[in-house]
Amino acid sequence: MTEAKPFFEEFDEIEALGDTQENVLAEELTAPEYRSGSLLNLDIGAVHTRASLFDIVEGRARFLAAGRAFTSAGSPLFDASEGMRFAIERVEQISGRLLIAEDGRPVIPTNQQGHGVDFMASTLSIDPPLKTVVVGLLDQVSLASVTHLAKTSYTEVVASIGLNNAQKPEEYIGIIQNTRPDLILIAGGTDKGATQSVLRLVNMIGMALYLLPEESRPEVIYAGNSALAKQVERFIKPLTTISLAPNIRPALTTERLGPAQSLLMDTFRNVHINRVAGLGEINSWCGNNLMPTAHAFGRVVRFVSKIVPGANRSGVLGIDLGASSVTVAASFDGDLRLRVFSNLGMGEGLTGILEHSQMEDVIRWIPGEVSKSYILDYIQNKIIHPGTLPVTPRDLYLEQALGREVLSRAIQEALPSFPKDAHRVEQNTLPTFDPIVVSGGVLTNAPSPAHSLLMVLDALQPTGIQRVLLDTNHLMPGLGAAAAVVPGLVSQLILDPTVLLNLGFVISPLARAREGTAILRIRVQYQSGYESTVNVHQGNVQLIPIPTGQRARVFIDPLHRANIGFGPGKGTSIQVVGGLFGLVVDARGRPLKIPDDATKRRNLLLKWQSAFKRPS
Amino acid sequence: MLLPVSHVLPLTVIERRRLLPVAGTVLVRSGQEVDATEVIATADIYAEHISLDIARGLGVAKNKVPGLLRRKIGEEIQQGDVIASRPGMVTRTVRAPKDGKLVAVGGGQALMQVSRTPYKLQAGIPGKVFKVEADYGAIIRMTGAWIQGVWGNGRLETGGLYVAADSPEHVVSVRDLDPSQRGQVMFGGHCANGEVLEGIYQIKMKGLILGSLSTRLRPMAAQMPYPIMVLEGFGNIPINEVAYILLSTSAERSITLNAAKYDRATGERPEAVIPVTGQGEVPMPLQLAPLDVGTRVHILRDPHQGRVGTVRRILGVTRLENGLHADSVEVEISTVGGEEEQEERTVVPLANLEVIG
Repeated sequence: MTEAKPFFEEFDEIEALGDTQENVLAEELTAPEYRSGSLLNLDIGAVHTRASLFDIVEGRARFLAAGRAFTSAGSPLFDASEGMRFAIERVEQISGRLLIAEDGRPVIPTNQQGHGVDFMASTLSIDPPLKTVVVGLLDQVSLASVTHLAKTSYTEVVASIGLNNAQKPEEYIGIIQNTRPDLILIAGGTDKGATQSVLRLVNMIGMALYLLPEESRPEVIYAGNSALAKQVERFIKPLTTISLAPNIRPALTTERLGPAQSLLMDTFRNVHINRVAGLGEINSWCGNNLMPTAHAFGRVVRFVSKIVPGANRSGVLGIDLGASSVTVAASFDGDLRLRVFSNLGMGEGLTGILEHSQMEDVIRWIPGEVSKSYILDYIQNKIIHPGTLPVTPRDLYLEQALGREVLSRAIQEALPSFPKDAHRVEQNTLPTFDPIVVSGGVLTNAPSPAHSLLMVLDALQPTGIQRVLLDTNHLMPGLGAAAAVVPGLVSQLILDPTVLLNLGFVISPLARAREGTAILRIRVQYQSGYESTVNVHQGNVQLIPIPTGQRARVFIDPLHRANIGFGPGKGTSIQVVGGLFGLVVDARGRPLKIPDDATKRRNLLLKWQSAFKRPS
Repeated sequence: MLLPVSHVLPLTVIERRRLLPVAGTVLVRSGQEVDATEVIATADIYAEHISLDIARGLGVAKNKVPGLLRRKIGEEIQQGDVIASRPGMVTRTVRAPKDGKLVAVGGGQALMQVSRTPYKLQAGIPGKVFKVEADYGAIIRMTGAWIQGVWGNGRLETGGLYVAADSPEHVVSVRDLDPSQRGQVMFGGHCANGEVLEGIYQIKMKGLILGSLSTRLRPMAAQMPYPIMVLEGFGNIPINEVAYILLSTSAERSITLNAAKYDRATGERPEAVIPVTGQGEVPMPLQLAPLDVGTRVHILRDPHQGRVGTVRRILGVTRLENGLHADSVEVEISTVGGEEEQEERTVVPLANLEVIG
C-alpha cells in the first residue's frame, strides 16, 4: 500500500498568476450608466443568511461589503429576522453605515448622514421544498411538462397523477390525503385539445381538497388547456387558492413554462411567508419581491447571456451548489432552461448521492486512501450537520469529491432540458457554454481558486472555449432579485470583478490521439508585442500565463484533427483578457478516464493538480 | 454571534405540542397526568376511497342526484345500505359496496371512505396536560433531565435506565446484553455489531441510547421495533462528556426515549427525558446562546468530534490545517488519559460548534 501523502501540501500553495483580480467581462463590455442608488441584498439560504451592500463609488456601481450569519428561519426560532439582523450587523461593521434602525426596520432611503440604503432585494431558499403533486394527462406530454415546471423551483414531487397511472381515480384522493402537499400543479390538454379527461382529473382533485381540513388545503396552479381555465377556477376557488397560468403544453411539441414559473415563485413565497415569522416584513421591505433564490439566479444567467458577446453561439451556464439543492440555469440567447434539484446538495442534498450514486463515483476523485465506511459516515454526519466545515486534509478532499459528484449528477440530470440543437463540440458532450458561472460554498470556500476551477472542470467536463467565473460572495441571486428594481445598477455590478471572479479562459479540445501526442499548438501575442508558442499534449492540463487584465491574441491551431468547437482540425484566434489562471488548456479528453488502481489514480490526480502550481 | 444549542440538561422545563394529523377526539383534559406512551387523542385515517356513479346507477341527470340521496354526508354506512334511490314503477338503487362513510357528493358521483385505520397519538413525554387543543391534541409539560440526539428510528418507549457504557468511548458488544435487564432502556456507546441490535430485541429490552452507530447498521436500526437514539452521529464517535455523565449517573431511573426522526423543518429531534420534580423555579431551556470566551461548546466534526470544551479565544477568520479559511475560536478540551487529565487547545471553526447545555 502506498503511503497516503497529504493532498494539499502540494495544492494549497497555488497562487494567482496575476497581481490584481480584474474581470474579463469588465474589459469587454460597456455597462449602462448608473449614477444613483445603493442596494442591500439579503439571501436567506437553508444554512446561511447573507447580506451584501452595493453602492456607487467614483461613478461606478461597486460591491462594498458582505456579512453572513446562520439562517434563523427554521428550528428553533422559525423567525428569519434574527439571521437577517446578524448578517446585516456584520455589513454595518464593515461599511460603517447604519442599515437597521432601532425599530428593527432597514433605513430606506439613504438619509442625509449617509446611513441606510435606497433599495433592498431579497432571495429565499430555505427548507423544506414545497411538497408538490403534479397532475397531467399523458406521461410523455402534459405530465412531463408539469414535472418540468415543478423542477424549476424548490419542490419535492410527492405524487404524480396521470391517465397512465395504474391507480383508479378515487385512489388519487388517498394519495393527496396521505402526502398532504403544499401545492398541486395541474396541466393537461393542448389548447383546443382534451377537455373531459382534464375535467375528470380536476373533479377528483376537488374532492380530495374538499376532504382535507380547510387550513391544510394546498394551493393549486392550473396550467392546462386554456379553454377550461375559467371552469376549473370556478370549481376549485371555493375550496382553496387557485392561480391560472397559460397552458404549459399548448401544442404537443411546444412546452412553455415561463408564466407558470412566475406563479410557482409566488406560491413558494406565500407558503413560506405563512410559515416563517419575519419573511412577510422582509418581503414588504423588498417591494413584495422576495424571490426564490433559484429564480433570481436564473434571471442573472439569462441577463448575462444577453450581454456577453458570443453567447448567441454558446449558451451561458450557471450552477449554484447549495446545501439542500442545486440550481442549474442554462440560457441560450435569452432562452432560460432552469432546473432545481432539491434532492442534491452538500448538506441534506447528499441523500440524493446516497440513493443514486455509486461509491466509486466519489472515490475516483480522492487521491488518498479513505475507507468506504468513512465516506458513508461522513455523508450521514454532513446530512445531520449541513453547515459544518471540513478541518482535516482528508475531510477536505472528501468534501470536494462529493462536490464533484453532486455537480456532475446535477449537470447530467439537467442535460435533457437543454435544446437539442444547442452547439456542441461533439455529440454527447456538454453543449458549449461561455461563460460558466459557478456559485456555492464548496466552490467559493475552497483553500484556493485552483481547487474551485479544477472541481468545475472535473465535474462538468466542458468542451470548446469558455471563461469560468466564480461567484465568490454568492451575490448572483441577489442581483437577479434586484434586477427588477434597479436594472442599471445590476448591469454594472455583473461586470464588477469583485462580484464575478474570472478564473480564466479554458480551452478543452477533443482529440482521438494517443496520450502525450501534441494536439494543439497555441501562439499567444501579448500586448507588449512578445509572442510565445506552446504545444499542448493529449492528457495534460496546461496553464499559459496571461497577466490578469492584460489583453492577448491567442491563435489556436489544432493538430491531429483535434476539435475545439469549429470542427476537426479547424483552428481559430480569440481575443483574451487575462483571468486569474490566464489560459488553461484542459487536454485530458472527454469523458475523463480515471484509473481504478489507487496508486495510479493518486498519481494522476496529483499531476492534474500540480498543473495549477505557479511556474518556478 | 448566536449558536444553536444542543440540550443536555439535568433539570429543565420540557414542553411538547402533540397534534393529530387530522381532526379527531382528544382523550385528556387540562391538568391530567399522563405517561409518555399514553394515548391522548385518536382519529380515523381513511386510506381508501370508493367513487360511486350515482347518476349512471339511477339513470338520472347529474343535477338530480342530491335530491335522490338517502344518506347524509358524514353518515357511517354498512355494506349493502341504500345510498340513493329513484322511485318509480321500477325502483333503482345504488347500495354501499363496503362499510364506510359517505364523505362527498358532486358531479353525479358520491365518494365513500372505506378501510378505516385508527390513529393513536401518544403523549411523547410523561407529564401534565398543560393545554388541550380541541379536536387535535394537547400541550404536555414536565420537568426533568433532557438529552437530545441527532438520529432516531421513530419509536417511543419508557423503561428503567441500564447503563452499559463504562466510558464515553465504550463499544457495545453482546457481552453487554444482560437478560435480567429485560424492560430496561440500555445506554451504550458506539455500536458496530448488528448482533447487539438483534440481541436487545431478543431479550425484550425497551430501547437503546447510543453515542454513535456504524452507518452500515443504520437500515437495520431503522427497522428495529424498539426505539434507538444516536447522540453524536455515524462512525465511531465518543459520547460527549456532558451527556455521558448525566446518563451514566441516572442508572435505574425511569427514562422515556422518544427516538423521533430528526426533522429540520419542524425542529423535532430524538430525545430522552427523565422526570425530576423541580424545587423552586426550574429554568427554561435556551434555544440559541451567545458565543463568548468561557462558553461551553460541543464539537460537531473531526478532529475531536463529539468532544465538549470551553471557548478560550475568539480568533476571527483563521487558516485551518487543510487550507480553508473560516471564522474560528480556540477551544480547550480535556483529555482523560489514565488517571491524569490533560488539557489541549484546538482551533475549531464556528460552523462546527454548538453550545451545549
